[in-house]
Amino acid sequence: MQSDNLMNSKSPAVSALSVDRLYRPVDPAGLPFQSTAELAPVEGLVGQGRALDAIRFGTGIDKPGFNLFVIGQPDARMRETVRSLLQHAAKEQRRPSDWVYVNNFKEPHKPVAIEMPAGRAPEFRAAMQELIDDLKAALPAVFNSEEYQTRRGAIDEAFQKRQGEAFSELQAKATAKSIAILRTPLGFALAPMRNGEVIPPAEFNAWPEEKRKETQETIAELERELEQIMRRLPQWEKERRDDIRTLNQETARVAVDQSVEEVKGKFSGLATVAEHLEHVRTDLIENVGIFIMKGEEGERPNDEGPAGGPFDRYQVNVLVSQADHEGGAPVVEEQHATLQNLIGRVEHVARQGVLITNFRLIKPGALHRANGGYLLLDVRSVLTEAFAWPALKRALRRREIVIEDVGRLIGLSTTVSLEPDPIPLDLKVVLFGDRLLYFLLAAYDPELNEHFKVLADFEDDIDRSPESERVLGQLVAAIVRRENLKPMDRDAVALVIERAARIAGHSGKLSLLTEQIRDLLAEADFWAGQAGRATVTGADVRQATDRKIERASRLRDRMQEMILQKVALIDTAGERIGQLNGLSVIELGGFAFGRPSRITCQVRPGTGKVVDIEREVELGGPIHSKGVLILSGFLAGRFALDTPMSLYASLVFEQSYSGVEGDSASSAELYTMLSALADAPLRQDLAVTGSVNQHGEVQAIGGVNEKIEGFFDICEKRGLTGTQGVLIPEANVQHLMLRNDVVEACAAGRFAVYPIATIDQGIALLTGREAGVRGADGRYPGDSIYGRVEDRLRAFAAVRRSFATSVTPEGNKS
Amino acid sequence: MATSREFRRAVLGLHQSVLDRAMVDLAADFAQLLRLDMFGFFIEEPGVSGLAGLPFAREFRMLGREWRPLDVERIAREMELSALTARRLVTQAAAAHRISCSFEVVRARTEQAIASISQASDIVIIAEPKSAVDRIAGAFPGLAAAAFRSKASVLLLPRRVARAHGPIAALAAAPGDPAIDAALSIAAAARENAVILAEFDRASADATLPAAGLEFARLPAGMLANERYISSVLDRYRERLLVVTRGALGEGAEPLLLSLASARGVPVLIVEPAETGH
Repeated sequence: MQSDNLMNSKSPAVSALSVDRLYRPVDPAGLPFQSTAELAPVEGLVGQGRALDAIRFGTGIDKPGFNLFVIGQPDARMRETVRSLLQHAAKEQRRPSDWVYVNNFKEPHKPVAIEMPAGRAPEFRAAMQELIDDLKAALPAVFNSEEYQTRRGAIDEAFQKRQGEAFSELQAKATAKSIAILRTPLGFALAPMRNGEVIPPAEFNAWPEEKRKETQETIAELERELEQIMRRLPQWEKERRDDIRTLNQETARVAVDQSVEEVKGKFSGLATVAEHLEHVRTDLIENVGIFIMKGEEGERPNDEGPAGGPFDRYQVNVLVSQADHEGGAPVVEEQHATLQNLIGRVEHVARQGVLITNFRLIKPGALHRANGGYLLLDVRSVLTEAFAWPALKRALRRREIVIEDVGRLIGLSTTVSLEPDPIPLDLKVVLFGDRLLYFLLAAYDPELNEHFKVLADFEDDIDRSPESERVLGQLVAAIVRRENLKPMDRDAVALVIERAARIAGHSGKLSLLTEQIRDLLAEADFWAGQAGRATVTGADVRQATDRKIERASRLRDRMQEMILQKVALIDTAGERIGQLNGLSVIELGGFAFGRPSRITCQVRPGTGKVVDIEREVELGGPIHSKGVLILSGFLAGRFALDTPMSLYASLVFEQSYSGVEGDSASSAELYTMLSALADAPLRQDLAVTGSVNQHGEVQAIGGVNEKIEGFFDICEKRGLTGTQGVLIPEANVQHLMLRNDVVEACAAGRFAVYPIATIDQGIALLTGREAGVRGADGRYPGDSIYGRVEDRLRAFAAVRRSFATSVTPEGNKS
Repeated sequence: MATSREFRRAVLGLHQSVLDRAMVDLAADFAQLLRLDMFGFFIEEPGVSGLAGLPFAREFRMLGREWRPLDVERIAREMELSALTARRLVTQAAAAHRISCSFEVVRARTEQAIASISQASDIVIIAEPKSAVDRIAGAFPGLAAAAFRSKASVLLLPRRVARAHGPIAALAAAPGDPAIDAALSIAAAARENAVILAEFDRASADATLPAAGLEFARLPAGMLANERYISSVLDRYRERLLVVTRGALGEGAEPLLLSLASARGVPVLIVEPAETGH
């Protein structure tokens, strides 16, 4: 078994890594050019075959739900790459339809959506505007014509004659009976008269009763007739209005029909347009009053409504048009993916203190603009905007765009709004995001896979080889050309490639995070310009790298200063029992640096508990706690197997006032615990990183370059002694792309990097003693570290046992 | 030879049955055009006020179409309100047209009121009510008759005005017809052309007529009082105002003029013959 081998075999002595293991330079022979100006550029899909295939598949498949989710590092320039691909593909695709909204004459709050051939919507809008302008001139002329006036006058005269005849007859009858019909302020009254004058009341009252009674009866009879005439007046008036309305419609039809037919002719073959024009024709004829003179008696239509001006209802709201689009399908990118920016909105205008709207105030969203093509969205932006993500999914599921009022969604809106016709949706949505968001969505949103079935995962890096180095050189040339930078010489390109390996954190990989490479090229270009060079050299790339680090390193420098001033206690010489230099990485604002931390351990008899002080005070994260718990497993599996574990140990990151996470210090913690148990001092001129498993194998960690450089900086500032160095997991050797000054120090024998595979190797290097291998008697050698540890643990067990036997079950001493 | 007219006031008689803002505005419009002061008066007929004293008196209300008893106080109050309304309409219209105005309430029979107020230098404006009932049973017949009997010129406003622009037309029986002079004066003020429909040749009046801005139509003899014929000739010109001299169309031509104004939707100005003019 592996664990047996580890326990029983003697570990070989560890040697410092040779210089060639610390940094992998580019072989200049693999870059057969003098300047990037000579290189054929390659565009940004180097090493992205998997993502490219996914994008091709996603754009090619024409089935619902096969939208794309593109994930990768933010610096990978995914969006630019995909946009470029889609724009290329879109040129070969059909231009989508135009869409307009027009008034719904039956239900004005439900505007009608009309699909039109690509590019024809503005033409329709102009035709309708021309129609109205024409009618504004033509209809008043028709209504001012003598023919109309004559016919209109005839209707009026007929009415007047009818009224007049009826009343004249009554008037004549009344006059014959000496009764006057008088107009009062509010009506009519009848009274006896003589010689055209009303009989005064006093005189009337003086008349004989019989005469008075006769007069009253006459008046009563005439009143009945008057009443009958008056009661017929509204009906006659209605008939007159009907006649005038009929006349107006007949008159209007002459001009309206001609204008409408002209427009229909322009859009023949479009059934929906023809249908709408029929509604327009009907409405124009029914509401011709808005075109002719105002103040016409009884013929003023309602020209003040929620639709705004009286002619608005005939206009066309061009929602989306391809008229200005060169050709192919649209590729639309929405940076601010609010609900309204996605699905469109219905705007309102204030009029006399009231918010009103109409179909002309419907505004398109990104879904409308991208319909028939591609919509590019940042998933974080969509998720952080209220209602945007559910609305996007709804639209994709329903395959239509329904404009929803956000005020209504949250129950705040009290204004009158519209319910526009939904518009059929047929597009590909491409979401961009980092992997974490995708995995979280996949875990927590069961609808994700329903709508985004195609995952395009951009690689962060590629395997490093002479071929890939050459291709990266071409990528550099492409960026230089695209960004209009100065050409770079071969040394500069080589340094950029090496930097790409460092960004990848692996000497055998090259980063594909072209955004970071682009930044480096731009900064190197700047420094070359400052130096008056027409070509960017290696010195410019180095300066760009160094100055960028310098700009971001204030915090690192302050931390190092605290160590040098012994505010933060870090020894870089001597030996201490139960104390070791651990290494951590701090990353702030995209800049990462290593920082040594003192780790200490205290032991005493106990119940087998290893106390992680960081966890006890809630400064340690779960992974760190896991690493500490693994130490218990290591001890329990390796020492005093026949004795209960009677150890109490406490571990702490000294002077750590913020959270500690990760298990990269677990090997260092184990070394300090072994040192404390074995009472063996540890070298303080060494720092340690690496996690450990229960079998004592040292495992890889992240940020190895930064950690080594962090300890090197402290040692270098205190003066390199030649014994100083860092223990790293052997598995991390492949990741080494160390800074030039570190490599040079190692080459000069002033600093060292040790690859550690097992705890046995590490403890031997740190203590100068053999870790120890169990002998035939099953015991470790007494002077080995493990032998001393086991003895100590047995001693703890004995102490505990003796303490237990000296106390009765009731807790009293025996 | 036509003599120049010197009008001073546009006199507008208002009755409780004729309180129409559009009509008052139109009257003010003409007063402004002819540069006249406006004089409005409200006729409070004693016969109507006295009605309430009759034991059986009641009123048929237009609104509601029902019979309501009359009482003295209510009639008086409604009369007062009608007079106030009339005053407001006149003063507002005059202010809008920037002409001076005055207003009176006259308690008299309509014929007496017109006779007592109108002067020879006045133009009495008679507006045709929109309602046929008011044209027959209201104050309109009395107002029109009194105006025609007065010494003043009369402007008949039809219930519907067909157009706001067009030439000023005159119906002239003889070369010296005052209607010619009045039409030319008004046309000049309104910056419109003049049209003369005459039963004589232009040559006989040419010396008194301007060379420009005038059209002349010779009518056959006896056609001046033929409404249908006159109307067919006027169709060619689409006149804005028609001017005629009282008596030029023969005695008792008032109904013809009323009919002509109403049918064509054109105001008709009836001026006094020369021997009685200024």
